[in-house]
Amino acid sequence: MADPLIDRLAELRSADPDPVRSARTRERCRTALARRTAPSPAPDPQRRRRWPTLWPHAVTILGALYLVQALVLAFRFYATR
Amino acid sequence: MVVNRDQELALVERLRRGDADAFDEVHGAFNRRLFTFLVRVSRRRDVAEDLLEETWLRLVKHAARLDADTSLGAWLFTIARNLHVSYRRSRLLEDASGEQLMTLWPAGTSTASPFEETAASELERRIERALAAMPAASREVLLLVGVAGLDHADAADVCGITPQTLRQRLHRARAALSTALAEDASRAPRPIEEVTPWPTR
Repeated sequence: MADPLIDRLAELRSADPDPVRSARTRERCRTALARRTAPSPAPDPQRRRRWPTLWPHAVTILGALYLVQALVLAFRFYATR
Repeated sequence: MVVNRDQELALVERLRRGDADAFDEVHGAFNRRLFTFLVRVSRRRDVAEDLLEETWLRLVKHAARLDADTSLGAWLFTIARNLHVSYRRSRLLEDASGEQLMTLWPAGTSTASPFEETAASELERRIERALAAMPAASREVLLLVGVAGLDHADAADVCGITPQTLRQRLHRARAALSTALAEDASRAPRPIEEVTPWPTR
């Protein structure tokens, strides 16, 4: 719904900022923006879910290797006596 | 330069990626509108220049964290408005008098706004005078909707109120402006020939 008074406000004159300062600000902002990189993408939820399921298996395998190695060392030690 | 919603979303996406050319486009579209808004709310050109610069620096600082569906107009005007509110608050604390601290938005002063001084037409001068004399909360909704051309939802976001409250505030502000203009017109001197006709001999 058109309102003549509000429409009249839209016709009020605009103000122009100082062009030199505006150009300086724009350049400063451009430089700052160009230095910035896009935010790092959110971590892949698939990968995030995979980790909690993988680490118990990894610990089991490493534990088994440790046990085998300990047994091998023990057998070698007693075999030499 | 007016940007439609699709262009705006594309600009937001490019800003998020740090595209300096996108910043130029946003600057071109909003710099004058923001400055006009800031001059009218602060009624000081030097303050408006400072706040404008800070608004753009804030955009750069937060560009990477903008939401993909950000409404740039609402975002920029919100920052500009908040900066002005902070400025007003700091000024009030500086020249603290108890009465002034009662309200963040003191009513208009008697000093003429820069616009009022340079307004071309009589009607424009009267509107500027009436706007400058309005309470700032009313003035800002008229400036955001009427002058800056924000839609009601965006203007409500800028002011931190619901669209319903904004509509009510706008309605009251519009009525107050209309009344002020009518009163101003009734106070205005009539054309000189009607008031003091030269006696004919």
